[in-house]
Amino acid sequence: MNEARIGENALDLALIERVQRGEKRAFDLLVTRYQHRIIAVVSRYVQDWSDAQDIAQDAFIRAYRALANFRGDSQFYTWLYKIAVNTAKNWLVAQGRRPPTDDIDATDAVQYEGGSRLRDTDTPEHELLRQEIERTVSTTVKALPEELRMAFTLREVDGLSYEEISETMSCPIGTVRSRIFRARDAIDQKLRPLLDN
Amino acid sequence: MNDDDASMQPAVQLSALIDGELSRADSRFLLRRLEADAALRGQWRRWHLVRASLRGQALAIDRGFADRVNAAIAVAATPRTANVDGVLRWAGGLAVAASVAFAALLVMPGSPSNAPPLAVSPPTPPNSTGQVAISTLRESDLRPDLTPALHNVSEIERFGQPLSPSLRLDPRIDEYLLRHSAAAAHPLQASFAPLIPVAVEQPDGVVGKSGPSTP
Repeated sequence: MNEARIGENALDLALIERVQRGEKRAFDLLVTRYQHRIIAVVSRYVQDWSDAQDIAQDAFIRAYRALANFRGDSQFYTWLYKIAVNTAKNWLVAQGRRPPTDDIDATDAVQYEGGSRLRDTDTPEHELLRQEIERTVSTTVKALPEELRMAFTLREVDGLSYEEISETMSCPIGTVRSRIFRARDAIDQKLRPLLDN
Repeated sequence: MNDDDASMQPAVQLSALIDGELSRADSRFLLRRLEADAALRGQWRRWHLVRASLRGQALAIDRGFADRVNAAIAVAATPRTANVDGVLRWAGGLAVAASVAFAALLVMPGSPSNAPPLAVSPPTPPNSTGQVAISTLRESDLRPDLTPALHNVSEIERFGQPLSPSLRLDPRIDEYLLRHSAAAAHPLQASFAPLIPVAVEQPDGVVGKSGPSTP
């Protein structure tokens, strides 16, 4: 049965609807889904790790309170991005600092989110753990069988849909789904002990 | 592997879900399950961490980040949608109309038990497509008898407190009350709280209106 896929934007909307019905745990799923990207956005305005975390947390809290006003006419991430930028700018102004004048539009933000390096001034242990996580993920991906690695990187790095990957790799969508899951599972097996400790 | 979503294990479904590649029906079920399944939520969190790592994004590896956000919103009110607010505003408007009508009845002479019963059509829900209910209120029902003294003892005994000697009812009050009896009878009237003129006592003791006010 080829029932329509939900799509990432519709997934966000489904989570938002659950939050609006009082299921606050659904907001936790949104936070864990976008926390990394939002911290990356905020880090363009502040370099200190703990400040960036505080501002990002504040942005999520503001987003929660404003969720009743989110009508779904834009993508949730675009809306959240604007809140994060405004929160960061307000924080800079409150610190007596001038926010940068060249704003990057949310639709172009993806290409600027990578590569930001925050100074972890408070927790060197966190910095070490972060490096270990990146090393583990990278090593595990490189060790994956060719078909798993290709499907997984086409999805996670290049952002292709399952249908596009299916055409690229000349295999059924179900096979694509299976390969991506097996790749994630293999990485998870290596990563989980690191995080649990 | 079978293409049928229903035969997939929850973890496989979750992998498809975070890519937006699960069917809508199965997504609904899985989202409900996610909120109750800590192991699945852990996978959700770790897989998004892996995604961030591969994309070179800053890694919020500390579970405390999400926990602090959760603690802050735990005490916050649920952000309700506009539809719910619309229903609440309709209900609020109806409550205001009812109180205005009741206040009008209080200034009428005679015992409420001796007065003919007022038949008011019951309110219908705001999304009803039914016909407009016709009000059975008559103009004379709302027109107070201004002849009795407003501050004699018998009035105090009946109403419990002396009415303001400066309160001389104005024909504009009639107009005001009639407008609102008509509004209260209209079931599809959107919240007319913003449309209620504020009645204020003017320096000469005559009650007038200052214009519409928005709550």
